[in-house]
Amino acid sequence: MSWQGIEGHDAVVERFRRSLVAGRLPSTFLFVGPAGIGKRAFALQLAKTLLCEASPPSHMAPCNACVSCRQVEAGTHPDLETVAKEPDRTEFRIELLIGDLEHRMQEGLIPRLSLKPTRGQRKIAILDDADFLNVASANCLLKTLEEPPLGSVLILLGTSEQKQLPTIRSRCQIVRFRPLPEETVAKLLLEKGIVNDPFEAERLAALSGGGLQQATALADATLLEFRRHLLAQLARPRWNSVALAKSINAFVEDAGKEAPPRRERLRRVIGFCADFYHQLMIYQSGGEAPADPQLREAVAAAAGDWGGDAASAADRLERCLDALAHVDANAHPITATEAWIDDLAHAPL
Amino acid sequence: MKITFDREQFMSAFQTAAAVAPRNTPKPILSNVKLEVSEQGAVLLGTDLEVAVRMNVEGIEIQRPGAAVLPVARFGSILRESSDERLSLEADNQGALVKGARSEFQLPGADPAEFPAFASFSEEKYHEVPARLLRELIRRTVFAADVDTGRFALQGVLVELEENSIITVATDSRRLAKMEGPAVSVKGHSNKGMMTIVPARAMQLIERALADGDAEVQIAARSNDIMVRSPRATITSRLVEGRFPKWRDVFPVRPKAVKIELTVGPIFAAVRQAAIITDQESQGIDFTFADGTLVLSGRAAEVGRSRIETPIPYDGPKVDLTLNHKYVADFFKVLDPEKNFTLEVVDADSAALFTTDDGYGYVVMPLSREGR
Repeated sequence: MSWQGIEGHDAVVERFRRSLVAGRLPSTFLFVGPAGIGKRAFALQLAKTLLCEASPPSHMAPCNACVSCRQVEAGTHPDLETVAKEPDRTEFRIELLIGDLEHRMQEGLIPRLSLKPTRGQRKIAILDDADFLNVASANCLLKTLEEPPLGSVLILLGTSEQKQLPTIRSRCQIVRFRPLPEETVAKLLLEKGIVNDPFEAERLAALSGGGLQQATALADATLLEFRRHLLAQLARPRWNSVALAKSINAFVEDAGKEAPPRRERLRRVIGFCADFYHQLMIYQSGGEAPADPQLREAVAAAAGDWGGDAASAADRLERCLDALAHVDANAHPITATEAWIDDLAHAPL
Repeated sequence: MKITFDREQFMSAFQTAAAVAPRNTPKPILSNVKLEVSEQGAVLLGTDLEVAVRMNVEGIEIQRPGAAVLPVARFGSILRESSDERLSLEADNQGALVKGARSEFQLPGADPAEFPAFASFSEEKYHEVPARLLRELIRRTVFAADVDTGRFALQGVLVELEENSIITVATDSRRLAKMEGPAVSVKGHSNKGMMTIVPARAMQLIERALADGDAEVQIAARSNDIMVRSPRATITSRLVEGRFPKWRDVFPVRPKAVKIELTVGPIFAAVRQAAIITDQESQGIDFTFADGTLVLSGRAAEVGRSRIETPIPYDGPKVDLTLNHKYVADFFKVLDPEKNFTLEVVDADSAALFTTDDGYGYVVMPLSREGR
């Protein structure tokens, strides 16, 4: 079932329907779930529902025709504020929330929320990339989350509640979004024209982890090719860490001259590795082998002769997650890769 | 939509509407001005979602009504650089075509329906205030608003519209400025019981958009916004959510206080001189009233000290208090040097009250004198 073009989140839709019918919508939310599964689309659709001038919110059926609906779609509605981390930054800067030093508390999201709504009764703010809020930005949100201005609804979007400060978590209603089923990912890939071949769409969906963003990235053939190479290496009982680190660094540098695409690619590579150890851990604890043939082959080969058990796979998985955190924290990519691969190769079995 | 227009007149209206458009915004459509052309006339609309300005444009010949969005920077430059007396404009969702006698400009367009809509002035109940007075009401209070500490209700100016009066109040909790003037309520318009707090920036825009030549302006306070209409322009501003302090309780009523009649010019000059010897840490200057003289003295570690004497019509017992010179200067800055005012003081721990005969009042809390 889908709601207003939102696929695969029926439980969440139901939850909002209940609280809207009861007329008791909380005012601060933290939407969590993997990237690319439609949290933002859902938040926008919810904004449209709340702002629509033709249909009451409890019907959950915005008309898509009134001025409000059209302005939400065009991103120009005066009572809908959206902010996101600037693409070239690694942190969500405090200036986006309360203005720069000269205009403290005069510009940015929080002062804008302090005004009364223009058209209706509600104001909605969508704060994207909440994962990247730094301590200062997160702290300056606390007062607004604690006592939101009358009639406002604040929605934070992130991948995990663990990435938020406890003070933020405790002030928000947490709404969990589950990864999309593979069929839905395949369907969306075809609908959005990311791939044209239904067979290709299914294959990507299987690798996507339920997120459209990952599926889209994997539509890039070089990335898939590198994944094959990486899995072949990891499947061996012993591998040359220096050579592998070198090939990863070369591949990452191929992504472009700028830091952001390189960092993005490195995150993907670490993700592949984490996935591998995750599956290996499951397999060695007696779980099922993964569906993807390449991954299954690699996991089966490694389980046969690498000499480790589920616990040592878990250690390596943890090291991969640390590496991701280092990349997010702006560690020097080459050094981070070398240290990470070296640790993987030499961790005790 | 198709029109021809008088370039000079169009430009003056366009620039006023464009002044509201934000410089950098995540909503690109806001860096446009919307032109609405109907049988009744043409209106230019600019907004940053906080304040919206509607300008009526004269000198337009309408071939076909409709709407268009015009980019602030490029269209503004066309108006400025063109030397034609009249230009023609044809626009649809795809774009706009501007033609002069020997020039032609094609601009990309956007859907005018995406431009945020603000209501036009259709209120039947409103207050009528002379433009000159409204500007004074704004100028004399807006500086006292507290713009940067995050107490949102104090970031604006409270506007109270009563039977025969209009009152504006602003405070940052250390000083409070209030001005009251006569106004005519049409059909019983009043905002009693509502909190009409207008953001300080919007107040400044209103002040600038009004011309002293405008005779009467109309003000209507609604639950979420306030509208001000002059013959040329309609300005709408969103209100600040929150509660304004009970300012009437702050205004001291002290029959026994010392009241001294003074003139702005000489006292302001003395305050400016005394303020030379102050620094960031000690912004206070001591006011001593006694024996027909006001002594102002400033002192600051490593800067020195100052002592300025001014004759005043006062012979009562000595009164001492310390005031922040910036706050005092703010009061003088909005008044003519020849203007008379009354200064009311009690002692070092009570507020000083500055009043004029035209409804202006200004309360300043004294600084602590400990350690002096």
